[in-house]
Amino acid sequence: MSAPSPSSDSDLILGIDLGTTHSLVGVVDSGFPILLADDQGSRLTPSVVHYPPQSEEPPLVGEFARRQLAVDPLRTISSVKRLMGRRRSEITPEELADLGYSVVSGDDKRAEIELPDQARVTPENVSTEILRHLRSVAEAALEIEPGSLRRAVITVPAYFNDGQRNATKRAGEAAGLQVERILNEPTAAALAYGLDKLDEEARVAVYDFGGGTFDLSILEMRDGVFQVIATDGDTRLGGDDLDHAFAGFLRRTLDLPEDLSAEQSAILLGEARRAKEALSEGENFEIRLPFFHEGRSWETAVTRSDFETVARPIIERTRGHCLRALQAAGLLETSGDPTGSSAGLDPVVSGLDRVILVGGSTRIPLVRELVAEVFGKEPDTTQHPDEAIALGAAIQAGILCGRIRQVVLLDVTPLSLGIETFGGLMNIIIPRNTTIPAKAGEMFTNAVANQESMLVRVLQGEREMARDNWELGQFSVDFTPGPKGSARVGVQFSLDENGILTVLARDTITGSDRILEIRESAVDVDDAEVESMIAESVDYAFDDMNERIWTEARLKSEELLPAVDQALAAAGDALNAEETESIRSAADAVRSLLENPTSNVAALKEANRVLDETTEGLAAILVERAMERALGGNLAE
Amino acid sequence: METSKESPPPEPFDAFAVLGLDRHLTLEDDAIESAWRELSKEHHPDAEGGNADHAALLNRAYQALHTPGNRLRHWLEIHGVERERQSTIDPDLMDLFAEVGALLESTDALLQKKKAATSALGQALLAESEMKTQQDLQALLGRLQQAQRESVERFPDFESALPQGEARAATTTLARLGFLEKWQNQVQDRIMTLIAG
Repeated sequence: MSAPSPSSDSDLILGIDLGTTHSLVGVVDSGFPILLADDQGSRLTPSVVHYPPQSEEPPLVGEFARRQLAVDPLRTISSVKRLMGRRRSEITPEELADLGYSVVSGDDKRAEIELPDQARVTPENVSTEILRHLRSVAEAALEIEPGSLRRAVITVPAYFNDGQRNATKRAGEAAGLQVERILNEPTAAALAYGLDKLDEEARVAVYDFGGGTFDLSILEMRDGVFQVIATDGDTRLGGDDLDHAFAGFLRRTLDLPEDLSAEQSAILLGEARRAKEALSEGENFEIRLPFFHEGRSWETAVTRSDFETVARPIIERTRGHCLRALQAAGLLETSGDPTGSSAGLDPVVSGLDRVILVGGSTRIPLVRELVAEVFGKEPDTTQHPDEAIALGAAIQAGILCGRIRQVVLLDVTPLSLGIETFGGLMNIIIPRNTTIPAKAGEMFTNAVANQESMLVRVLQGEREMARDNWELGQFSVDFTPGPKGSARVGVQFSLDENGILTVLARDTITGSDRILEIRESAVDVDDAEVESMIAESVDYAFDDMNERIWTEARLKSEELLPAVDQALAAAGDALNAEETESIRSAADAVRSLLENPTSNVAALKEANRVLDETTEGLAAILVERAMERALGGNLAE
Repeated sequence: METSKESPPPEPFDAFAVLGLDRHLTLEDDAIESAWRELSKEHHPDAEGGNADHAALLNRAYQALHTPGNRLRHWLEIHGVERERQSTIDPDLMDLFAEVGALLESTDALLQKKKAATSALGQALLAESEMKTQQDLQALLGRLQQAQRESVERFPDFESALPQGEARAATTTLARLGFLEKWQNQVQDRIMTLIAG
């Protein structure tokens, strides 16, 4: 590989995939995107940063840091992308438990990481270390002087909001990189897919299921234009969640001690991840935890079907996002005459040529099954799950520095942008799936005479009530004193090609323009309240864990018992006497435990589980009957 | 922090002109989209000689024309026709409104129940009314779409009536399309919640 000529180094733009679990860096060389390897020959850098106890030592990044995960978990930061641009109060106790290190509330209530010696780092700081490392990997690979690469394209999940995009951009700038573009990950993957197919016209979906986030984007490609039509996703849904869920399963089946240390939890998590990866290839895996706890070892065999039982509910969560994106793109037939051509009530996908898989989690066979079922076609697996996004970032970098021509990307904003209006409602100013860059104006006036200013809350999201959406912050509009309704301030909201917002105010009387700063809410009662509520519920959970579990189990029983009676009555003679009897006795078991005040929680939970299982067949019969009636017997044949 | 950034696009804003299209209400969606795509390719900030302001202007124009309701609103605006202050709602629209309201309400009640049911059996007991509701929503959506098509079919009449200063039918239809588009979104949203969670 020949390095680009030295004179072009300052023009060269890096393409960086800053992933939840792994990061990669690439450039365009002689018209082709390439990924760059570190001195160990690896193109995949673990997104892990280890802060050594003596703070004079520089942090370790990548593989060396990853090796510290099970040794020194509280000083070894992984999956930091989950915290980018988020407030401490938005992070759930479950997420905290999964992260394994301490997260506190910092400036502007942003999430910050507290190391054991009270030192704090922000998620941006951690990302900056990773980006700095990638930059030096690139400089070494290209054999150019350290510090000479100064520009980058960085990818983010399509569903990142303004705060998360801004945080990523700032992390890049702190690493000494001018961030030329914040690029959506599925769009990047589409570039990688389509660069050698510029003559083709196609409508494709990119199903991007990575380590920490899920995105589904639908694009139209023709004449070198990559146009995103719709995008949907979840920034907190990824392979990480599968690892944690499977680690939980191992805890239960191996009956591991409750009081695992942070180190032991990290070892267990590592074993769960290995099992997940092995079970994507084979059918069986041997879990081994030698000298795991107080000198004791554990071993067990797990199967792919064990993993799938645990993973299914998490993987299923991607279905709704796929359907919503398809619907927004007008590719879902839900309004067809139900007695007509479509066989059932299931929505039918039409007009989509391919569905492309990227992201490490798409190696899981169950994921591929779900995709095939939702889209009604076998997925396209031609793209490298770990590398396609970085290649796309490199291509976009190539477009920006003129090394690749005749390709233009038209992306959209994933979330509606709006302001809070009368009655606490969200007033949409730029709807989701609008092509960016986009601008929209709104006129404000004084509601009473001589009003000096008004506060405007800026929101992102799709919910009707303002409070249910993500609040970006608020800005103040200043009025020239005068009678009610006399002031005229036009506010322009503009989303640039990175999906980042700026707000500009123009006083139409004075004709002056001003960039408005969006700040955290001045009065933060809600935030503080939410935070104390979470703190309380955590304390409460530890104090009264048993009572809480009992209450949960009791509620479940109280839901199940009447449902059983009702269902048995509805089923009539669909069940034989034996089946009916086994359901009745399972229900009786629950009932007697529920009525006995000395009952054991575990026993009630188990009885609920048995009842749930025994009635599965009955539930299936009821659903089938409902479908038959709904379709007027169409399913009978 | 006084700055002299570029100002919002000068009024009057003519989306037809921005996209190089004739001022016709009856334009096909495909024609609008392909005009927008071709110009975007040229003016996107990543293209040679492109810039963000022009690209944003194209996107604004596309938004202004790409649903029949938006197109009619914009067309009336650039012809200087005032919007009806008090639009009359015709009886069949009132009937639709009553149906939409009732169905949305019962759907929301069902969705609440569905959320509360955590067991397979509890959910199975709701399956029948869920499917019935989904069918009702789809049937209603079909009728709303039909009503919208009927309104759009009158667009040529509005174009020929305007030179005579007659815009009343157009402004009533605009109000009508506003309702129909909003209801379609609401019904579509409930269908998606039922099937996609």
